[in-house]
Amino acid sequence: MSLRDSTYKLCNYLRRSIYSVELKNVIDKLNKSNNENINSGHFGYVARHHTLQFLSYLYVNQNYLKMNQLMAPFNLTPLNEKEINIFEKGHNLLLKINKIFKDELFKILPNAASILEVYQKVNVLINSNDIIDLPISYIDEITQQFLTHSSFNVIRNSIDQLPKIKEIPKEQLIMGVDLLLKEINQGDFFEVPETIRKMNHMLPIGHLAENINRVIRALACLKISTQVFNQLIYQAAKNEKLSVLDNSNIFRIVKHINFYLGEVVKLEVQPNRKCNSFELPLSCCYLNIEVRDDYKIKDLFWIANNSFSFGHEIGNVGKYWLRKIDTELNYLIDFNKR
Amino acid sequence: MIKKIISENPIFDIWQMILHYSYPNNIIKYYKQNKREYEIDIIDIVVNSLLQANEFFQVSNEVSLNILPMVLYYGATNLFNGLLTLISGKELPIKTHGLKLIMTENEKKGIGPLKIQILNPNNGALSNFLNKIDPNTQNIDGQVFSFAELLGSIPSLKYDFENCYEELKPNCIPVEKVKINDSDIERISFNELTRFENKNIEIFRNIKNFEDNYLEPQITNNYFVLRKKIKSKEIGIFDEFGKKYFQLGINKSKRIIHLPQPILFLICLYSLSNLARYYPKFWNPFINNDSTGERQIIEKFLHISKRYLPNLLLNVLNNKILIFIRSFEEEIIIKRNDEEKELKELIRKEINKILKIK
Repeated sequence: MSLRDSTYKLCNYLRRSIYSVELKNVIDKLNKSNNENINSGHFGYVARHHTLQFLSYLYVNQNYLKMNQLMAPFNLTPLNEKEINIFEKGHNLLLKINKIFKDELFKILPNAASILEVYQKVNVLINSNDIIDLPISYIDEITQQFLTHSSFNVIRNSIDQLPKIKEIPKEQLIMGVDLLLKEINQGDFFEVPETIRKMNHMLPIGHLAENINRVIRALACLKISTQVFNQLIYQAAKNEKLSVLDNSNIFRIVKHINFYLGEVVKLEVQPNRKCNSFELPLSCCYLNIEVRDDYKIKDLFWIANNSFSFGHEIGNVGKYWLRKIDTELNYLIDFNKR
Repeated sequence: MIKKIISENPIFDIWQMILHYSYPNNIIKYYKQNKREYEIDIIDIVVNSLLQANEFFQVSNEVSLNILPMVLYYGATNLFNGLLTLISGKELPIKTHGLKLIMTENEKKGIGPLKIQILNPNNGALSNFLNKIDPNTQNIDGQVFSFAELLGSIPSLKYDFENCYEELKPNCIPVEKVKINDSDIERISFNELTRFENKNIEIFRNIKNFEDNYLEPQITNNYFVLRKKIKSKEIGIFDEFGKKYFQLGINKSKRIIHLPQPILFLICLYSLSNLARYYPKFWNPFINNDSTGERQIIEKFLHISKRYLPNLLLNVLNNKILIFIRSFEEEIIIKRNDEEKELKELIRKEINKILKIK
């Protein structure tokens, strides 16, 4: 059993729940365009692009007037109470589990715990404490597995070597992790960003700054695992099948490397019913491809980026930049052990 | 697998490669290299068949249409027998031609409607050759084909076929190859499908192994756009110039039959030689007084047989598609690998423009 396995178990439970039917109906309604109402579908379109899971819809709802001004001719109409409640129930589940993750981190490194509050920068008023109804055993299992995350050991060891890590101001740790992830996610995904490369060359092992860096890398991995977890739960709760990229839609593997920042693949695909062309980045998918008779790739991947071109002479084409997700739901595989 | 061979004289080079096996030592070497067993008696069969085949093909350049089909058919059967015996390592159990021309009053109106029936699956030359070329082939014992169905499956004759038989659909579709950036696509122009009532992806279900090797075709305004799957094999057929086509299966009441290209040539040559040999009342007026224009496509078919049938059989021997060309065609590649950089540059310029204006 791993964090990924226990998350899958919860996903399967959610997919079969009444909640997923309710959520899917609301999301479908908000995303559906029809001829009678020219504004239909706009709400869902705007919300989807915020990639904040359930909170995307609540955020757009809270700011719909401002958005209507900014994004004319979009004319968003607010959610009704029932719809708000459905999104809040889902969001509250993520908050509850994220808080458990945060509390576990707090026990080891209190000044870093808020790094796992992944929605803290989004200011949305949540009205209710309602939560998706589910047996507590699912959450217990996830918590148990989260505790085995390799980052915890890295942090513990670093603190043993350098107890002063506990005194680093919270803001500096948050900034360190954010900067690191920003650097990693804004490049072309196949290169180690210049600043990270320089940092590695400059610092001798055992150096004070190296210990801090190791902690920051471990925290970044914990944050990624939390984000991937949230996304998987969200995709399951809305009863969405993960996109499958396989031999029925991939026509080219542009690049595939395994390096310091994990396993990255760039693919060219022809969208089909298994991977639709409305797929957004920062979500999860399966890659299941037989490259040769003796070489297959079959795993969960994070869509780091994608783009589509439509309808011209050469047909519809999608490009995907994918990062492999490990059993700890981390796509910077072993980055915390470097 | 495709191999391009630059050749000033393809016919000469093809026969050089074939006649390599008219030397017993080279035959023995072939089995050693391929680590295969063989019956010693086959050496004479191979040598004799290939030498006779070569002479028949050489003679075919000197004879008139009166006997040309017979000369080519004899050459072809010898060539099939020589090379396929070489491949199999044992004598093929051939006692008959293995096919029959069905001539009724109605079919005497032209060559296109002629019917040919496949017979003798065990001892017929045709079935034996077919099994050696494609061991997984469908059983076609007793199957009847029209001459036009077979002729329409030969890529070099696609346009002649459409001109000659206004009511019939050709069984091969030309494929255009386009290179964009670093990826290759193939496409089929709707202009090539004027004889097909429905221009939908159903057409592709008639192509052998299409779904295993291509993603679902995409339909644009003028083309079917085709992309190969990651683990794909070449399933196209090629004309003598290396132009790619897809061969559509021949639709028979309950099944679609895919005949390999060399077999199509052999059946057509058999039919024509049979006409020339046994039906003078048909053949003589056809070659001397044909007013329909059908004679032209038959002449072209015979001409292509001389050049391309030996090439097709050489492909079978080598398990490769050998394309003999006079020079390498210059490939047009549209390369846009700096897309990202160009985009960044454009954005930078636009921002600078805005900043300067402000």
